[in-house]
This record gives sequence, structure tokens and C-alpha cells, in this order.
Amino acid sequence: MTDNVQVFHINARANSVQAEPLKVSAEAQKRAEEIVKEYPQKRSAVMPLLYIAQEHTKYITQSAVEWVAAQLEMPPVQVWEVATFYTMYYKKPVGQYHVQVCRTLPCALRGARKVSEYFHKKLGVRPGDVTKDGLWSFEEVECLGSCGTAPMCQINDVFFENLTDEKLDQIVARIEKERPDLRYSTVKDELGAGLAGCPKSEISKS
Amino acid sequence: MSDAATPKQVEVVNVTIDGKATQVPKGTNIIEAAKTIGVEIPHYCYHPHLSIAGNCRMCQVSVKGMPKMTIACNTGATEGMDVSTHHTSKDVADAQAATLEFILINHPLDCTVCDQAGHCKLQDYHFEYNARPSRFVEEKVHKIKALPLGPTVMLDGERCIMCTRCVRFCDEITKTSELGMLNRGDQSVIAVSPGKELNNPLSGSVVDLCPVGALTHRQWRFNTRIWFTKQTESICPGCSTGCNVKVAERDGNIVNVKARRNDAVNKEWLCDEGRYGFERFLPNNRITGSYRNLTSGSREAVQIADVINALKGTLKTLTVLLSPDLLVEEYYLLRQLLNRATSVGRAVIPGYKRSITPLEEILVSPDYASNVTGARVVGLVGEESDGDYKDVLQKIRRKEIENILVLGDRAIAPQDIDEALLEGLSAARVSVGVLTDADSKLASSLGTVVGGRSVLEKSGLLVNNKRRMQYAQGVVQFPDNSVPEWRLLGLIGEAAGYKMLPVNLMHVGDRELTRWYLGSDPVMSALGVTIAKIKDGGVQLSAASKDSSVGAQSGLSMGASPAA
Repeated sequence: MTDNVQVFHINARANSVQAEPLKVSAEAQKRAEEIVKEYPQKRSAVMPLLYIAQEHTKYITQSAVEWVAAQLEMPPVQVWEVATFYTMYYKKPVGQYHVQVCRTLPCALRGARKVSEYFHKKLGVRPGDVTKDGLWSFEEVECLGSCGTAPMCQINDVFFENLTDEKLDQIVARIEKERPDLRYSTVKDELGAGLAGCPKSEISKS
Repeated sequence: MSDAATPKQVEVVNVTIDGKATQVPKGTNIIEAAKTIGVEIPHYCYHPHLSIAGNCRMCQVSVKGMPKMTIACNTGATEGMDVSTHHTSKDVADAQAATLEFILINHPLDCTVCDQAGHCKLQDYHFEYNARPSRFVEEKVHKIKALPLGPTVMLDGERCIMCTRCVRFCDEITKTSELGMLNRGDQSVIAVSPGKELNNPLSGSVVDLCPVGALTHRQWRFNTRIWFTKQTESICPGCSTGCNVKVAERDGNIVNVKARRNDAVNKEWLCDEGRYGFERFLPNNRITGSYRNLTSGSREAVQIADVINALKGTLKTLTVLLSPDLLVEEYYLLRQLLNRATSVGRAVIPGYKRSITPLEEILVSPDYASNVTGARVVGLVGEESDGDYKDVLQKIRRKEIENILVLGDRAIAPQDIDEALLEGLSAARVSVGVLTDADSKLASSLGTVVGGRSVLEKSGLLVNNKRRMQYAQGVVQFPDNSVPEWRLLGLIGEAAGYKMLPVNLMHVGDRELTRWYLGSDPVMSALGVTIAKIKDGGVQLSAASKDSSVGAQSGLSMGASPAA
């Protein structure tokens, strides 16, 4: 299978181009300022602020990075370093529902390959790609820390665990029908827990 | 030894490296400590003037009492430390060979088309520390091959070994932070932030810092193999900072300029203006030979002897306009000549000043008269010499000066050249210039023009704005029939019966001239310095004393009193 390590490709020739300044909501701006206050050094807040920016831009853009850099008074390239180091910051557009299938050893032993193949067939896209309607995208990632309930995947910010083809069918069908909000910052939905028949994931409790 | 590694008032500790004992200030890193006893520890990411990154792992050594090998760059010397390098420890040698093999795993090995080949640390170290074929048979990771990072620098992502020297340079020295390392693992690549470019006054320095061929000068890519060039260790004549450079020349063209390390002057940096502008010191339209009425229809070739004859009788009233980039030897010789002739004429030198940006202040001097301090050191002109110069120009404009000798193309600053001045020059009874560029306005208005040598074609002493005397080696071969300023001065002296230079002037070279100067200037001979000593980092002269403001007319007291 194609190795879908997320790599930020630098194809553009270097030039001095101003990006459109990012406009975040007043609520997000307030949230960002509170996060910055929690750290003795402003630059320590780069990761949470990248999440906030990504909520607005859907993936990491030049505007997003420059907004974060301005908030934290650090050089933009150092924000890019962080954003490109971590896979959870998307370097290209993802679908409304972004599926991350764990492929590390415990999941791999319990059939992660089958989960991956399920999404590949079901959605008709390769890892790293987005479906034509923009609803789905999926990729393979390394350990998400839920080895006890392998195989598992994460859709947006919610874990779906002990996966089988039947469960996946139900999950995909319900998401397509109900279009729930699976974002960490706003998640209210019990879908993950209810459907998977396993304890509600820690991330959705908080 | 680096400034950072040796803070003042630090206790000295005894360290043994490969069985040899040495004493270094506590905390000195092992790479620097090993240098004191002539042991080279290989390294890529370490640079004495940048912070420690410790990511190349090439400088591993074994320290007695430590369970594992440690990197020499980030290990400070402590009392009684016993270090084994690759010379004495097979484990260390094996580890270095393995490290090198890892570093080379994704290296494209395109040495055949790489500008760095021949001065590449990967080649050097592979030859010295590994020298065996790679066992890596899988497909290498491919990255971007030619990405311009800015107007001066080109990146080859595949050749990069991620030492981050360039990133640290932009973070710590210029503080502009253009560069960063994006992605991770074997996909890592050096890049500028999207939408930005590497564009600062020192940007070319990252190419010097790059130990491999990842960063190259856009101006000089695919120009020539370095082993076909003649490389000369010289001094940049661009401004009065006097940065140490290594210039590669081929067929009379400058094909590469590299900074040389000199902690007292330029550390190991060089500004782009100096580096990429090196060829501006060579004339566009060279004057070959000596002519009367050079640019007019009545141009005629003259013999040097005729020029000398015309000048020797004028010595008492001769006004000499000096370029601020002549050699110290030439200033000294001129001063001797004027003194012997008890001249009432005088020598003047223009000031070259400009404003510089805060970023340029790291290296660039606002005074771009490269050797004006040299003229002051030998007492030829005073510390405040601009007034005299302006006076003389005014007198020339009023046609009050009869005998004029112009030494060097920059003897009159371009902004001071106007119609009245040029008329004044043509009206003088005797006006002789030693110039290189026939296109200059001076060349057209002086009566006689002698084809001289440019700054890059002479070897000799320069004194920078901090009064450090350095030896600038000529980097380009001078034309056969060119007459350097010192030769003209020597011949005038000889014709006037002063016998200043001891040997046959037409056959003496720059090096002999410098030797003569070091022996005959009482201050320099008291210092007992040799050319070799000056070449090794330069000689610091003491601060200006009051005497040096006396100027040219006043006689024999020497201006400088260099430190003992």
C-alpha cells in the first residue's frame, strides 16, 4: 500500500507574498489569548493555537501560520516547523469527516489492514485523498493510544474502537445520514460510544 | 577557540586526549580542546560561533568513566577528563564510520555534478573515516533538487544532511529567522517559510556554512570545478572591516568567494555585497600602457621614463590625490618621498561614507574606504582628513594647483567630480594619474595616464577600521605592462636621487616590497612582525595617538605606535 506519510511539499519558488490575513471568530481569539496566558513563554502555545487556526482554515495555510506567528511573536518558519512535524495538522484539505486508521503493531495484529481496506473500498479513495463530495477522507496513522481496543480509528476527534466490518458499515451509514459534529472542541454526540458498543472514549468525555 | 566556550576568569583544567595532556579553560568543548594539541575531531553541525545542535553525531568520542560514547561538541572539559578519539579507540572509529554511512543513506552521491565536490566535508570525511561502499540497496528518498531560497542561494534538498547550521545562522547571527527545517525524519527539508525568501545582507554566508553541496551560490552554480581554480587567501577590499576571504579565480574571473575564519574580524561571515561584488574591483575597460591624452584623438603612448622625468622636478609642490585602497607600503613610500623632498605639496585622501542598515552592522562598516586607516597609520594623512581633501579639490577647481599626481581610481569620490574639477585637472601643468579604468572621467581629464593595477592585482598590507593590519594577497594576475603605484613612486624617488627602495624596481615584486616596508618602517621593525605572522590572523595596532593627526607636511614623526 502506498506510504501516506504526510509530507509538506515545497514546490513554490521562494518569493515575498503576503497571505490574506486570517480572521478568526471573537470566541476563538479569546480562547487563544487565554491559552497563551497559561505559558511562561508565549511560543509554548504554538500547538493549541495551530488547532484553533486549523478549525478556521480546515488545513494549515500560510494565513493560518502567519496568524499563529503573530499571536505568539515568533518567526513564521518556526510555526511551519511545528505544523509540518506533526501529522495531526493537515497539510492539504481533508474531508468533512477525516478518518485516521491506526496501523501500529497492536492494531496491525488485530486487523488494521482490513479496516484500511474497508475505507479504501467503501469510499473509493486512496489514503490521503478526499472523496469527490468532500465528505470523507482517510489516512493511516501511527499509534493513537487505544491499543486495548484494537483495531480502531479516529474520525475527526472521536475514537471508534474494536472495529469490525459490520460496525464500520453502521458508523459510515449513520455519519452519512446524521452528519454529527465530531469536533473535540464542541463534541456532544454519543455516536462513537453508542455505535461501537464500547466505553465512551476519553476524548469525548472532556 | 570560540568566545562562547572560554568565558573569562574560568579555572583551567587538565585534560588528556589520546594520551596527550593539555590544559584548557573548564567547560571548553572537546573539539576545541583537541585542537590545542593538533587532534582533529570530525564534525558537521558544530560551528564555534553558533549554538550547539548536536545532531550530526560525527564528533563522537569515548570518555573514560562514561558508559557510552558522547559527542565532543557538547561535552565540556572537566578536571582529569580522559578522552579517546578515533585515533586510539576502535569503537569510536567504528561508530564514526557507521554514522557516516547513515548520513550518506539518502545522499544522492551526485558529486559529478555538484559544485561542492572538491571542497566537501562528506567527501573528505568519507575518505578519511569510512572509505567503504554503502550497503544501502533500497530506493533513496527523493527531494527537491533546485529550489531558489532567495536571490542569492539555491537549495538542493537531497544533498542536505540536516546539520541546521544555516538555520542557526539566520536565527542567531542575523536574527532574521528565514530558514527552518520542515517535515520530519528522512523527509526533513530545509526551507524558507512559504511566501518568504532568504534575503538578508549576509545571506551568502549560509553557503559557506553548509558542509555539503546543499546550499550553493546562484551566481556561481555550475561555473567551474574548484580544483581548476586558483584559490587565494586574501582580504575583502569592499569596506574598512577587512573581512578575511578565500577567492577562487579562473582565467581572470572570480568564480567563488568564501569567508575565512578570523575571530577578531569577521568570525566566519561575509556580506553579500562583498562576496558577490568582488569583480567590481576589476576595471571594465582596462588601460594598458601609459598614454598622454588617453581618450582624445591626440592620444600618444609615452615611456614611463618620460613620466618620471616630468614628475621628479615637481616633487616640492606636488599635490597627491590618493585612493583609499592603496597599500600601506605605498602610503609609507609616498610619505618617505614627500619627506625627503621636504615637500610643501600634500597628499589628500577622500572619505567614503554611507549609511548602513542595522542588519548590515553585524559586519559591514559605514566607511568603505578600505585602507584609509593605513594612510593614517603611516602618518601620511591626519585622522580628520576630509577637510584637506575638500580644500585641495576647491583649489583644483580654481586652477590654483599646478602639479597633480592621482594615485588610484578612487582618489576622487564620484560625487565630487564635476565640470569645474575636471577642467581644473586638465588645466594643471603636470597631471599624472595611475588608473586602471579608461571609462572613468578622471582618465579623460588627466594629461598623462599610467595603466596601474586594481586592488585585486596587488599584494600587500591593509589596515582595517579597528586598526588591525592584515595581508591582502592579489587574487588576479596583473597585466604585464601595468605599473603599480609603488613602482612609480620608487622610480620618482630614484630619479630624484633618494634611493629609497634597495633593489631594481622593475623586477621587485609585491612581496619584496612588503618585506622592505616591514624592515624599514621603525614601528614595524620594532614589532618584529613577518609576513607570515601578519597572514596568520593579522596584527593589532594600538589606538591612534595624537601624533598621527599631524598630516603629511609636518615631517618625520611617525603616527602610529603599535602595541608591543
